Amino acid sequence: MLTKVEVNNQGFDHFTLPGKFSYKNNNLTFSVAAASFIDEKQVKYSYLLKGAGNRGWSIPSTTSNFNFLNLLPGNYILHVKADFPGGLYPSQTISYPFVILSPWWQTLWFRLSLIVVLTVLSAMFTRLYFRSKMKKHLIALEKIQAIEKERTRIATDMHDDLGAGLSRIKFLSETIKLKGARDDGITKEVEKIAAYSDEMVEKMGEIVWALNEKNDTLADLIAYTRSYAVDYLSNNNINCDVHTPTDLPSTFVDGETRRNIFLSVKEGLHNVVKHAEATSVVFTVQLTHEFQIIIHDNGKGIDWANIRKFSNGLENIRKRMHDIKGKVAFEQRNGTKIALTVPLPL
Amino acid sequence: MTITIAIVEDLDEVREGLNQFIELDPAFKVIKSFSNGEEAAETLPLIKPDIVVMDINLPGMSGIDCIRKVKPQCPSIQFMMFTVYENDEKVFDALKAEATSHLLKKTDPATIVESLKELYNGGSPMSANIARKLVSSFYHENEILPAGPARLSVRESEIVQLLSQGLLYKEIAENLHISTGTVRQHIHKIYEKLHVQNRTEAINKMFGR
Repeated sequence: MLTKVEVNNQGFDHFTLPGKFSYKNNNLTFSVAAASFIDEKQVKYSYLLKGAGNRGWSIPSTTSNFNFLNLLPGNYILHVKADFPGGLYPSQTISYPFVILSPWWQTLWFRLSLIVVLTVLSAMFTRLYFRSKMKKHLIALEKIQAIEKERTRIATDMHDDLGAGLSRIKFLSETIKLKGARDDGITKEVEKIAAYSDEMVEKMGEIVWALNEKNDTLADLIAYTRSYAVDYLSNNNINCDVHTPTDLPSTFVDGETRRNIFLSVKEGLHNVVKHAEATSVVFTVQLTHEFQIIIHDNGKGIDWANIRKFSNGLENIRKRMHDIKGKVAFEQRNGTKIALTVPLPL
Repeated sequence: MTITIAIVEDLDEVREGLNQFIELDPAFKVIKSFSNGEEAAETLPLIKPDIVVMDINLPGMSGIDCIRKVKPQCPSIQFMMFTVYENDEKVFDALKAEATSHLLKKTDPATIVESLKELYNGGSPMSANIARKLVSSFYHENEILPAGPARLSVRESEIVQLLSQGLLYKEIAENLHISTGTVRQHIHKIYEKLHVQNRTEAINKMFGR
């Protein structure tokens, strides 16, 4: 039985019950004595400290106290066996369970709360970081929006003023035509005035259209472009057959893309009217994995050798399509086929 | 009986030019021309013309506000909006606010007169582009049309479909094997029906604005 327990070289009295020692009290000395009627100096003791990694019992010796230094935190059971010489008595074993408590910074509770605190802190920091990033982003967006708004306002003012002026010119020229109806000498020039004024108004209208935020879906772009195509071609006595997908999506198209696509179509049609000597055009809009407009005329085809005359226009188309990450392709087959392609999403 | 016209337009050359062209046709008589909205709003209810050609961009009171003031007092007056550009937001607002038709200022005089006649005879002259946007915007606000007088007929629904795909009047006519004139008449009916449907909501919006 245990007779004495010393902790850090100081007596410990309460060893009748399993011990709980703090991590600082980890130098323990146990003294044992076996009650017997024989010479106690002949009793051999051996021990096994379970929990300290020892596998086997120590070699029996008459030493009756055992020192354990620097025990690590954990659960231990000290088994002590007393062997009596000559086998007079059966060996006796005692067990003394004790615990070296973990320092507070090693306990499970502490570790768990630490993890929780760290997680919360990192979550908070991440949130703050993204918030400030978003804020910066928002400010930048607001700035862009403000600039756009101001641009639109300036453009709108310009359009109104220019439009009013051009309308005056138009009506004046119409009035002149009326009054000078009998005088052939000036009719041609007066008609030109009216025609140029109309043309200017049309161009302004296109800018207004491209800027106007309401006209921002793919459906609007297709409708506006086809309407222009049919109008322009029929005004030049060319038949126009339009094929568009029945389902027009309401995907958004930004101003630059709208403008470039429309102006490329305009340029292409202009070439057909001026150079192709065609009588009809098939205008197709396709929406598969990409957005495609195909202008197929039944004219005499592009004379690539002699292309200097209208090379500017074709080059413009190329540049415009390139600016919006699209491309243009020309094909000679029963006339000329101009294919404008823009990858989706726009 | 001559069709009486009033003109509200602040640009002198345009107003006087219009006056002359319209009067060239014996069917019409221009009874008064105004250069601003305030005078027009005051006097139009008194002279009650058949048709008013109304410019939107007026110096003081806008053309839209003028219509809003006059139309309730004289619902029989037809308003034809007169604008420089087609893709103007204001065109919509005007058409929703009870103007029945729209014309571009760059239209040649002969066509202007034609359109006035069409308007008088029950049409709603406006370009297919505008009609398309108008119809689709009405649709967005009223998902389901009720039964009764405001419901679209089969033919009318067909036309709305084709219109929303961006077809021009001529193409719609070819597609359905009817004349362009018939298409225009249908557009007028469709427009009226959608307008009736929309009226209660539109009235509050109109006056609220």
